[in-house]
Amino acid sequence: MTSRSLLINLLKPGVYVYTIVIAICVYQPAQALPTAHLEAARQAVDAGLRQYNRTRSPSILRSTIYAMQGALDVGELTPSNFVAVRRQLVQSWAQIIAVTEHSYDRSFNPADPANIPQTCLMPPPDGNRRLPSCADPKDIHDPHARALYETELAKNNEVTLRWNTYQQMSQIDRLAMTSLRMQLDVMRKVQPQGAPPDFAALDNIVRSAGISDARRAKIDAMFYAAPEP
Amino acid sequence: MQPSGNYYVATGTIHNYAFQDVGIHTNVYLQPDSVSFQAVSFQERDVPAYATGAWACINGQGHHPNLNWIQAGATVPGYGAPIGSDTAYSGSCGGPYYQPPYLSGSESFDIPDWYQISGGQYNYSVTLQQATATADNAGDLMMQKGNPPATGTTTVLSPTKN
Repeated sequence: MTSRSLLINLLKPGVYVYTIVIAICVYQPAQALPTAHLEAARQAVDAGLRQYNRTRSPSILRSTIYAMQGALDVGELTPSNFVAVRRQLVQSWAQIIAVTEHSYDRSFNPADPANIPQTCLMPPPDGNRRLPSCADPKDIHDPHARALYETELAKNNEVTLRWNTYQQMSQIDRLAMTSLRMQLDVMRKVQPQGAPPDFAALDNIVRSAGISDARRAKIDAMFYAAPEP
Repeated sequence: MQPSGNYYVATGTIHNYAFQDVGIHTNVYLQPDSVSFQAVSFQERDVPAYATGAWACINGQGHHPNLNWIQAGATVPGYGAPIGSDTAYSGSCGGPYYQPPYLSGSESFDIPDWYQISGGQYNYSVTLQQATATADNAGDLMMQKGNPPATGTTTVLSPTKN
């Protein structure tokens, strides 16, 4: 059947009922078109994560979270799109959280003195004189002492970079988790009467995103948590 | 809210036996402690030393701090947001000196502290009178940094401590 003959058939009065039945069967609330805000945020997340994967810039990840913070407009929620919106919301957050989680070493201990960057280091003795902390290596006369000091300065640079990465990423991590929790709390407050908890589907979204089991348990708890007063 | 300054908590004293040197190891926190400064990073800037007497040889020496911005961590109540550690050490111009009288003197750096928010969108500085070392003829030595100051004291003939 060509598309032209299909169109002619559909225009016949007897086919209207058939067409409507097909449309109803195809319609599934969980796959309904997301709200405008959510769709815009979803696209921002996709673009943001692509850019982050290229650049590894924490500020891109932070901007992506800010975009998702504007994803939920309760005025756009209806009984028929509620489940789909919640799934899409969790899907986008799960993408962000999974990327964040895999972007830094969460076992890093910022209280370990070996992990703490120094503003100033104390140079080694230079003959019988000692230079003050933060001295310029060029001011050290003894080549051995200077080389030793330069090695320590280079190590401190590495420690600083590791510290900064951890601090930035752990902050982004907390921001993402808090934002997700707040949006789920809002959705729980406004959910239509009789809306299904949809736990299995939501948990499946989180699991499929590649999030660690410990984190998945935390997020799963948010699906049930009572909203804060 | 802008940071009001750095809070230095002394964790140890530095000294070499029979030398006119003194220093302190400190942990540094960004204040006040009622605010999250996790989008803020910090660095010290270069300034020359003003030094006299016992430390006259250091007068005009530069202060070349870590020029990487150090990102503030999660706020610790009672302290502030951790921004790394610091060593304030006077150095020494000679020695060893085994008996008094010793040369008195002082050494200070007025260091500009710079802060920025989220990768450089906003900069401002707070100048802090820091790293002031003093020595007297009896051999007493003191290092202070910050306001209120973290303080370390020792004497020329005290055992070596790093």
